[in-house]
Amino acid sequence: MLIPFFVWGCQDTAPKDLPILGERDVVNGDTVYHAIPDFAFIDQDSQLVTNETFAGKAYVADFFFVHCPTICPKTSAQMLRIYEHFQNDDRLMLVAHTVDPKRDTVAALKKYSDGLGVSSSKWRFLTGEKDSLYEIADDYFSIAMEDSEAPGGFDHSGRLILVDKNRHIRSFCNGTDPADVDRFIKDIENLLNEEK
Amino acid sequence: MKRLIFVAVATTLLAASACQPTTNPDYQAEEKVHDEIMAIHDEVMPKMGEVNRLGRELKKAAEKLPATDEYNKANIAQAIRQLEKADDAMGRWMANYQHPSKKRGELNHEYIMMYLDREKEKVELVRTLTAESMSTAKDILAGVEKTE
Repeated sequence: MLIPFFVWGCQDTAPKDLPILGERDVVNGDTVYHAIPDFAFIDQDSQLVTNETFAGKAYVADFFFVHCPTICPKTSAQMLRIYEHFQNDDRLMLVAHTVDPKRDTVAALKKYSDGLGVSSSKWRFLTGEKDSLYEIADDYFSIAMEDSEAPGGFDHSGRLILVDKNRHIRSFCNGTDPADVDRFIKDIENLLNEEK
Repeated sequence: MKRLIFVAVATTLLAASACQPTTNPDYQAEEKVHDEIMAIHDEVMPKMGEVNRLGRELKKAAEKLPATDEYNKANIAQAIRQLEKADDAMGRWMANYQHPSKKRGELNHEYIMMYLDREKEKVELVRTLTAESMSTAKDILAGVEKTE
């Protein structure tokens, strides 16, 4: 009785490729996966950030704002854990989008990122046109909505999203839950190993 | 090093606030109102994504209207302004609100309670503005769908 259990246990520990999340279409016999659309925002150093900024790299995305009193401080602490874990791994970047561009100016984002003491080339804090920020939030969170009973509000849910170098969403987690972030960090490691 | 200090200070503050519930009755009364304020914030804030989504849908609906339909265009513009006002009210409130512990050096307990009561009224107003603006936007969008 122990043997099948043992075999199952071994199989479960082997790293598996992460699935590609989101809606998919079949076009001319080929499967077309959901991909993050084109975007253009400005970071804490006033640099233009587009999809090209992440060419050949995976990244973790989240949505936040500086004056958030409840959820964002928890997710920022978890983003900082991810930052430190992958600090010397050039294959991964982090990107935090504000949803309050009126108050979260480039200067405010710079102050926030300096307060965390993080490298702006590794962790981009983005601001831009409000509707564009919310539109891209809808796109990132479309995959999370499929998996949850919650009726909405994902841009304030503390979700962290993992995107691969081909703009595909490969994993997500609850950024307020350290245990879920532990699992997410393993997913990131698996993705980076898969992309070697 | 700077980051380590930041994390150490943040962790210490968090541990201090989480592990040592205050026994000071004044502080307890202040924390109670603060928690009520945060509960209202946590109820309203997740709606801000939908507030923006409704605004975007209204903008698209206005673009589809003929230029001569000034009445409906003005109606939609007014509804968009209401949504933006609700969102901005939340943003401004969050940027200005301060935890009661930050007021203790400058105000006595009685004034801190007055401050918190005012802040609670403000965030309740944000809740009302949010609910009303969303309701108006949904009514307009439902009307537009009917005529399409």
